[in-house]
Amino acid sequence: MAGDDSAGIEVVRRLGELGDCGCDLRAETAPGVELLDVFPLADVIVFVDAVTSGGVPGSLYLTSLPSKGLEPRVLGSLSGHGWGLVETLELAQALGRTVPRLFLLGIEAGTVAQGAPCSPAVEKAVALVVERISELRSLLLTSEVVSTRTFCPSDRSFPGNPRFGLQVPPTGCP
Amino acid sequence: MATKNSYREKTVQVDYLTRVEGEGGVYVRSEGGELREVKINIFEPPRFFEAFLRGRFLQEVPDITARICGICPVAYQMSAVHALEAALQVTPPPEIRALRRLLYCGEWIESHALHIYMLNAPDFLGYESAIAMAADHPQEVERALRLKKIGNRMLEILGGRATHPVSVCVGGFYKAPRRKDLETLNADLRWALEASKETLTFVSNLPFPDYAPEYEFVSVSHPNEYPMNERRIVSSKGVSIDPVDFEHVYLEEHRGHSTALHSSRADNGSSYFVGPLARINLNFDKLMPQALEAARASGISWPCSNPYKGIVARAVELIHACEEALALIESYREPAASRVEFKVRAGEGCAATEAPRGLLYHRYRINDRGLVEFARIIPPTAQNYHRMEDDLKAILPGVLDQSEAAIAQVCEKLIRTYDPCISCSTHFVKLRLERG
Repeated sequence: MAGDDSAGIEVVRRLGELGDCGCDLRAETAPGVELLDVFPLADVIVFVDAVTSGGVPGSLYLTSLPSKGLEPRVLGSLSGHGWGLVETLELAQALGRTVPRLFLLGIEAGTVAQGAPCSPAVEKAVALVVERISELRSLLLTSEVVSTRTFCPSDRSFPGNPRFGLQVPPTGCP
Repeated sequence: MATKNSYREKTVQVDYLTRVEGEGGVYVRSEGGELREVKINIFEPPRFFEAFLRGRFLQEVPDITARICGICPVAYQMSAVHALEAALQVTPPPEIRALRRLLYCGEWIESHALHIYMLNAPDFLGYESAIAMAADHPQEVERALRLKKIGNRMLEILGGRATHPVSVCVGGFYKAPRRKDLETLNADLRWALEASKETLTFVSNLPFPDYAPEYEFVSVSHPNEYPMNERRIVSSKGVSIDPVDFEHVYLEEHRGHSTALHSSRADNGSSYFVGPLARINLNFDKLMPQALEAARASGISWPCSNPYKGIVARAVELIHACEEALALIESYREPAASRVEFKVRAGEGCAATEAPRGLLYHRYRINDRGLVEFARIIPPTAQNYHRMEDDLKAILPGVLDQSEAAIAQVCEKLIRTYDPCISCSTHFVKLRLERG
């Protein structure tokens, strides 16, 4: 993988090593129409992926999908023959398929150079997500995320309190 | 799309072709109502896979080349292992050969289902996308999704996973599937066979433009079976060569406007055509019985030189792949060993196999430690660019008086019939038209 681009896969790998984290884990390298087969399997699906928004590396972003607030790679056109998550969501709606509640947990990438190691900031962000998976799971099962929540690097308030789910998050990291 | 109009010159530019894989465009210039220039511009950066391969051990090659494409990784693996086995003078037993054909059937099913319904059919039915088409044709789109899923399932069982399979190796497979695992595919494949026949009926009734130039069709050809992994390379202009002669007859050249190489006949510089239409035209009598019967009953006159009817050829091959897959599973006997043991030696070898979108050629030179010293990969899309440009030069003069949007649609529709994979070829689409 290319440096911090491995963040999503790394979160899945580490959660898998923990044993039962209360979530079904899948590592998808090319999300496309195959996701239609995944949608019926869960009430809530969280996509974890590296993102590049110009923010501080290691920042975490939590948003419901589809979202216009972020332009993460998973929503881009890098999927096979133009079929990414956005297109798959639209197709599911056109076919009348049931779509579960979807969220994106984005991890701001620093370096995505081929063969580069994960940067320390992203390494810390991955560790924080793994450490707080139980809180994240509880939050997303019980709350809506109506706008993008941004967590600066090492912000241990992640993933936030369910009772603050309707609050507009602070923006900008020091 | 951008346009420029002046007394002498008019420009139309489609920045990005959609419903194709990768990034490219089309530039068209006309003066005084005459077409002057057509270029298919590939601006996706080169991917340098041939350079990545140098210095890597030969068994890494099928895994690395599979990463070239998420839709047709099996094709890259097949051409790679056959070329390397030619270099090593290794011949896998019939059981392994049959398993490789079964794996290829899976890829043809998933790739053809995707292209027929999700990428190409909307062009003929007047929809912007398969998503828009799904509202009016949900049955067809659901059929496509199930067909694709079945193809992917085949790749999972045989290849370890659907995207970038990991079981293929030089000499055979790291692990041969159990017969009972393959038999779990039978019910789905029987459904897929009937769904493929319905697909052929669906696409045979689409409204096709009246355009049928004289092409040189090129494909792999085998004396006893429909071409997938071997053996000779033949053309509708009389070429019949061993793969070792491919680079003498067909030449890859750099074009300044493209990051992809363009292929032509080496002797006269003419374009040629690879893909399902070429395969069927050159190997019609090798189709499986039900596919052959369905092709004859389709209403299409074979051989067929209308590129738009490539979608029909794909549907015939969909039937073929399902039919052959069922036959291969029926006759499958688990091999005593999943791969042939071999002694590493220096050598050079090449092979051509049939990717879903056409002939895919690989050549490798390895040293006595089994390290790759030289690699050449000539994907089907790069071979078709020259032919696409020639088609546009023939078609566009008849539509230059139309709107820029209409011209752009003509370009995109033609190019999509080839099922181009730009990412595979970069070493590809956007329309820019100048007319006056």
